[in-house]
Parts: sequence; structure tokens; C-alpha cells
Amino acid sequence: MSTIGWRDRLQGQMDPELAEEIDVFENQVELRKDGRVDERVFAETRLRRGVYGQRYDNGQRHDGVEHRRLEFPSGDLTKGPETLWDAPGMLRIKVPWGGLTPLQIDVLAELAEEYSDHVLHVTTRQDIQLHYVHIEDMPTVMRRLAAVGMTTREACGNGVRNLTACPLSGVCRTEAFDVTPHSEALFRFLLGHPDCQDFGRKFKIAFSGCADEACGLVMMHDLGAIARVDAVDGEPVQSFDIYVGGGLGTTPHQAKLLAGRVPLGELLPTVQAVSRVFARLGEKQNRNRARIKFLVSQVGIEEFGRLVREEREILPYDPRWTAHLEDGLPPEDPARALDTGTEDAAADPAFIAWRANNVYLQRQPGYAVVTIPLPLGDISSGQARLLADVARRFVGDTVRTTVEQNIVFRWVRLEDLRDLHAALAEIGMADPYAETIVDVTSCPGTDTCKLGISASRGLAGELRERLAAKSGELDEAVKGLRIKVSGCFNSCGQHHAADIGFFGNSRKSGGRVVPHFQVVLGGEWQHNAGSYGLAVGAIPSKRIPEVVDRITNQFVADRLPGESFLDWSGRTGRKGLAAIIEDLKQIPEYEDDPTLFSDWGNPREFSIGDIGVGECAGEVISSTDLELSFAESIAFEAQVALEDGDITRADDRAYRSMITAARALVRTELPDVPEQDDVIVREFDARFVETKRFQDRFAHGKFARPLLERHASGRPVATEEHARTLVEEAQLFIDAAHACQIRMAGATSATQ
Amino acid sequence: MNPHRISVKLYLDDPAALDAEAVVPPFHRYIREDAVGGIPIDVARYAHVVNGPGVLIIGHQLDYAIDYAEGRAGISVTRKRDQEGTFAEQVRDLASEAGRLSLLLQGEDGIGDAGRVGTGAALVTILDRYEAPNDDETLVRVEPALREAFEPLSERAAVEMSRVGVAREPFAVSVAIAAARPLEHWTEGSAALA
Repeated sequence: MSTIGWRDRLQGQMDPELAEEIDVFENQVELRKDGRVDERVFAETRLRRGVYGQRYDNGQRHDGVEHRRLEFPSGDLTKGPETLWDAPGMLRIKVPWGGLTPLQIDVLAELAEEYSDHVLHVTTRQDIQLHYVHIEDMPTVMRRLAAVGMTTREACGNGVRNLTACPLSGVCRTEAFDVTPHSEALFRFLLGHPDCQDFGRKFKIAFSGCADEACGLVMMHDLGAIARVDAVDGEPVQSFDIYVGGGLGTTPHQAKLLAGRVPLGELLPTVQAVSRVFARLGEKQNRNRARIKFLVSQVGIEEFGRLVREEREILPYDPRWTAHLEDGLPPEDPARALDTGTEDAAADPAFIAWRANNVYLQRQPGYAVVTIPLPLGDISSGQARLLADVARRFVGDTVRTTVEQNIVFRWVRLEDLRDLHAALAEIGMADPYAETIVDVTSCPGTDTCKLGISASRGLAGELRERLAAKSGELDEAVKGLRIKVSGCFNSCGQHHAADIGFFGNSRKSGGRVVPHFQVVLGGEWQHNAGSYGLAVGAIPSKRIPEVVDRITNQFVADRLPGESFLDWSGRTGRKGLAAIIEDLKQIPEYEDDPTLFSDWGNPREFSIGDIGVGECAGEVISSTDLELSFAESIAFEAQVALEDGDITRADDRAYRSMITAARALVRTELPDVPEQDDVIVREFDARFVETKRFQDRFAHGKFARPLLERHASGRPVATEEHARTLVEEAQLFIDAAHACQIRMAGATSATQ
Repeated sequence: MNPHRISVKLYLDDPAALDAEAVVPPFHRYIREDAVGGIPIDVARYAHVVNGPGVLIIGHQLDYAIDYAEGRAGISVTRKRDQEGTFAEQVRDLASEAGRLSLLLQGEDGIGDAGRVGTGAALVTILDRYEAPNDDETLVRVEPALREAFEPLSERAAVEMSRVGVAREPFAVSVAIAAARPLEHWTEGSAALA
């Protein structure tokens, strides 16, 4: 009941395009339940809406003794290959450039309570994730998000993921200029853009306000833009340096400069051209080689640049390229005007420690950015609601998430710092460890991720607790180090860019499997993740705290005056670093120390049998398949409308489903076909009907006729009987479009 | 009323005595031994979140938790899917399950009395803002069913209720049970969920 109720209640509060998207997805859910959509197509459909699988969703779980089957009520019904329908899943919610409002936080809290496990998880790419959500609840969650301007669209799957940006943008003391409006414009431009629907893999974009700080971590992204200002004829001119081909994972790449000093008005078309080149030439079959870094590496940055420039030349003009320069996101205003503009002297030690680590003075005098550390990126629904109230009181709508899994408040008046600290302390959110060694970052790992090997969150929690307990004794040089943990080599914890990084793996010993972490030292966080760390050996998971102690102690003992961890680890070298922890690699007999055979926070004997098939890459489904699948959803709506006696809507949906299917076919030959029915029908007629390619062997041109006639008439059918006929014909039209696509694919492969 | 989710929480007698992490091994064992109802899936650990959901057995139909929400530790059981019976029966079943989990934990080495809950108070939360907004009207609607659920747990059928929280929070009722029957009585019939 509440599903229908929410849909009706939120009508008019959602962006119409997003609302329709969600309607289509809801139909797809119903169609899949009826077995009318292929599981692979449905998997990619849901991934492109941020609906991701979770650990054990193949219905198998190792309980510490044996593998057990989870006997879900829906039996073998799946929502993707080896992914059971009833198995709870994760929903990733995009938070472009990390921007959040208190109202959005309130709604996120509500959703965590009603559909998830009462926890909001901030990711290393500024998204928010809900875990343990049932597939049938997803459309309602999406609607409630859409009503406050949030989307899950393309948060997973082979598309443009959340667009990240430095959380200090606009208030930073060293940035070239505020990248926020450009980030927002590019996010809106690429969301659902036709040129981004045929990627072989995901595509991550980051913005940075400067080259020297960590900012947006541009160098480890598929595409990144770094702001710059140059004097031209004595006048400051803003532009971007655009980088491509960065990435982490098993083969980390540093991004390469694609184009320097790109004018602001050229940012969007340049990224569009990159998208087209990637969609056309990127690997599609082998997902392990399908990220853009492999394409850039294969053809070389010079040739890649030439291809992009060539593509840019032929792009059809789009007014959105520059619209944001005139009427884009306005600069933020502080919620509270300055009164005194100064801080009172403080004596409270808790405040002093918090003030030292969690407060950054903005370039705007009298204001500061305050970091609120979230342990492991988690915040409970109750805390989130209280935090929203604190935001309303002190900073209004200027909240952002960070890639270090924290939340920042911007535009805090210096005179409010003590009151803010007190308010945060009251809700248990005044930990004084922001961006210190205590503030350990971690991906979900084996807690919920299908690909996790080791318990990254378990380890991160353990390190956090231990380091917090002795934070007062830590050497100043150690306090500022960063620790990042990934549950596997896919690097979602961004361990490559940490001073001390770990990623999960395993080793066998005496017939048993032992959880391990590979130790990676000396990554560079600054300079937009300017260099990656050295792997120095795999150590049993339970000994990692000892690794941290030894490495940090050695660093303190060896370092030259002013020497950074990065420089020290480079000077010490892989061999020297490995020697510090070499003896910890030895695995005792199980009987001598069984604790090593289980992981942090999980007493079950360790097993890698729970690792599933990753959906990170998504299914490689062509955009034609997806569009035809959408057409089916719309046809389904037509059938529902007919059953409800709504002839007008039945006609509209039937007609629209045929237009969608026709457009899918036309787009295989004319990617830029505009969203105009006249053009779509004309092109469809010329390319597929007149050429007889749409013809069925027995029915000949019969299936195309309903679209052509309905379009030519220009008016809806008048009777229920006609509507019923049109709805049936629409389904046949879509079937014929599928058949046509298959014939075309056969012809293509026969010519290769 | 058939809300999306219902939760019943019983409060720990001595919250400081229980280390949330101590329940992780038994929770895993309860999954292995089918000691809890529905289809349990995994254990989720959130003890690091202040006033959070604590440590949970996440299931398909039911979540069981050592729960620290509202700053007060307790044992909660939440019905998420596949509801059966009337609203009153569902609430009663959840109270039974919370009591049963308490008895299970009291039997664990290293936990013992730290797992004991009181029977004089319960918190019923309806996690469905559409069906049950947090207002007095909802209280009027659910009160008879809550009486039906809780009065048999009192020797004198003496139960008092008050709504908790504000409009944007989920609807919640604090139930005070005078002359409450012992926990063993509460758990009679909880096999209905197992």
C-alpha cells in the first residue's frame, strides 16, 4: 500500500524525467518477476539505477563450518546472474561534489530506518550507500530521494559514476577558483547522456581546485579537471587542465594530461568527446581491460588526444555546453552573517584538540570549515537527523561529504566554533581525529561486498580504536599520516594513495585459508594522489596492528629532520620496508594460534567461499538492448492503463513504446538522432522500413504499420477497441524490433 | 493496519554490563544453528556508531539487535517482510522474540545476566511514515492493538502508553507494563516466528 501511496503523494515533487525513469524501473521489476525481462538485461538496468548486489546474494553463505543455502521465499527467481531476488542489496545514492542539505539528510535518515539497517554509509567517492534493501522497495526509496533532488541513476554499472570534487571548493585558501558550478553542470549534462550509455566499464570523474593539494584526487580518476588561472594580457583567465586514464585496481595508472588550459566553455564538449571516443574504441568484451586507462595506454595519450579533438570537431552544438556560465549554480552564501568574526580564547582540552584537527580556516575571513569524522563512514539515522538540525542551526545548506568518508560543515562562523563543538559533542560526533592517522578509511570489504576477500572494516575499526587510545602519545610526524584499507585488490579503499595502505588477500596454510592484507607504503595523497605506494608483502590480518606499530616506530626513528613519510619510504626502499615486517609473514600451525585463521570482527573460521561474482563492472549490455527493454516497460504501462480503462493513457503509452523502440534502432546508425518524434519516425521509415530490414519473413511490413499510421494521424485513438488493438500492436512492434536487432547483429558478425 | 516494518525493543537491565562485541560470536552461532526466526543472513556490526543500531542479525524477515538507538541499550526485533497475523499478533510475536533472544544471551558464557532485559517497559516503533505518521491520530488507531498485545503480559492487565518523539521521527510508543509477568511467560509461543 505504501508503495502506491508514496508514488501518489510525491507526484509533482519529483523531476519529471527522474519520475518517469523510476516508473520505468518499477515496471521492469514487475516484468522481471514475471520472467518477461532477461536477467542480464535486468541486472544492467538496476545497476544503472544504483541498485547493486551484496554479499551472499547468490544464496550461499559459509557459516564457519559449512556452506549453507539461504532458502528465500522467491526461490530461484533472480535479479541478475547468480543473484537471488530476495537477497538484500545495496543502493548507492549519488551525491554530486558531495553537496547535501539538511532536508536531504532527514530523508536519507528516514530511508535508512524504513528500508535499510538504520545506517547511512558515506563512500570514498562521496556517495551514500544503504545496505540490506530489498529489490521491491527500491522504486519507493528512489521516489523519496527524487522528491528532495537526489538520484541513484548511473551510480553503478557501466556509466558515469558520481562526480567528486574537493569539499573545500569555493572556500579553499589555495584553489585557483571554485569548481563547484562546473562540477554541477557536468554532472547534470552527463546524467543519462546518450553518449555515455555504451561504455564497456564505469567512468569516474573528479574535479580539483588546485594541483598541489589532494583535493579531488584527479590523478587516480578516469577523467579529471584541475582548475587554473593564468594571466592573459594582464587579466586573470580561468581554465582547466584535463587529465584522462587514471585509475587504481590491480594495475594502477596515473592520469595523463589530455589538454591544458581548456577554456571553461570547452569543458563539457571536451568531456563529451572523450566519452564518445571511449564508447567507440574502449574494450567491451574483456571487462578486466575495459577501463579507459587501458585504451589511453594502448593508443598513447598523443593519439588519444587527436581522436578527442577530431570527435570534438564533429559534435553537434549543444547550448548546455555554456549555459551554466551564465546561469549556473550561484556561489554559496553563509547562513549566518558575522557578528564579532573572532573566536573566544578556549581552555577546554577537548575543544582545543578538536579545534586543532577538525577546523580549517576559510579564505573568507571569519569563517571555517569543520570536519565531522564518521567512524568507518557510518552515521546512524538518529544521529543523521540530529546532525541535520545542527547544520540548520549553524551552516544551512552547505554540508558536504568527503572522499575520506566524513562530513564537512562549511561557513561556520569562528565565533560559533565552541557552540558547534558542544552541539556535536552532545550527539556523539565531536571526535577530534579528522584527517589524522586515527581517521582510517575503508571500503565495505567482506561486511557487505561480494568481492571482498578480507575484513577491511573490521581491520579499520580495530586500528581506529587502538590509535585513538594512544593518540596523545603519538609522534607529531605520525599523527598526520593516512591509513586506508581495501577489502581486495579493486582498491575501493584507495589504499594506493595512502601513507600506509592495505588491501585484502589470502594465503593457504596447512589446508586452511588465512586472511591477509597486502601492505602498501608511501602513496602520495597530495598532488591529487600524485604517486602510488609500494607493495611490501602480505601479512596475516590479525598482525596488521603490529605492522602499523613497527612501520610508524621505524619512521620516527629513521626520519631526517622535516622528512615526510613519502620521502622516508622512498629512501628506505621496498627491500628495507619489507625487512621491517618480514618475520610477521610466518603463519603458525592452526593449533598453536587459531586466532590467525579468522578475520577482524568475524569469529567464523575464514573462508574465501563467500566471494561472489562482482557486479562492479556491470553487465555489458548494449544501449539498444536497454532501450528496447525500456520500450517494453512503457508497453507494460499501456497494458495497465488499458486494464484501468484509461484509454488516453493506454494510447499514449503504446505509441511512446513504439517510438522508443524505433529510436533504439535508429540510434544504432544515427547516434545523435534528436528527441523529436517526426525525425525518429522519418529516420526509422527510411532506414528500416523502406529498406525492408524491419520486415518479418512471414508478416512482411505489417509490424511497422501501427507506428507509421498512429504517427501520421497525429491524434489518439478514440475507442477502447482501437486502444486495445494499438497496445497489442505495440508489443508486436517491440518484438519485431528485437528480431531486427538480432538480424542486424548476425549480419554484422557475418561480415567481420 | 499493516505497516511496512514494526519493531519492539526491551531494555537491558544493566546496559553497562554488556559489551556489544561480545554478542558477535553467539549471533553467528545462532545463524548456524537456526536459533532465531525467519531466514537469518549475516551479522552486522555498528557498535562504533554512537546511539546506533549496535550489533544485528540481519535476516530476510526479521532483524535482531543489541540496539543503542535513542541512547538506551536494549534488545530489539524488527519485522521487515512476510507479515502474518494481525497487527497485535505481530507486536506480541516481536516482544516474544526479543525476550527469547534475551534468554538465549543469558545462557552464554561471558554474557550471562548482562543479557537480561526488563519486562516493565517496551518500545514499539512503526517504521512506516506513510501508514503511521508520528502523531496522536496514529496512537489512537494503534492503541487497542497494543493493549491486546501487552495486557496479557501484565498480571493485572495494567498497561500505559505514551507516544515518543516528534513528527519527523518514526511513530513510537513507550509501553509501561505494571506487574509484568516473567520473561518466560512472554516467550511462550514465540516459536511462531522460528
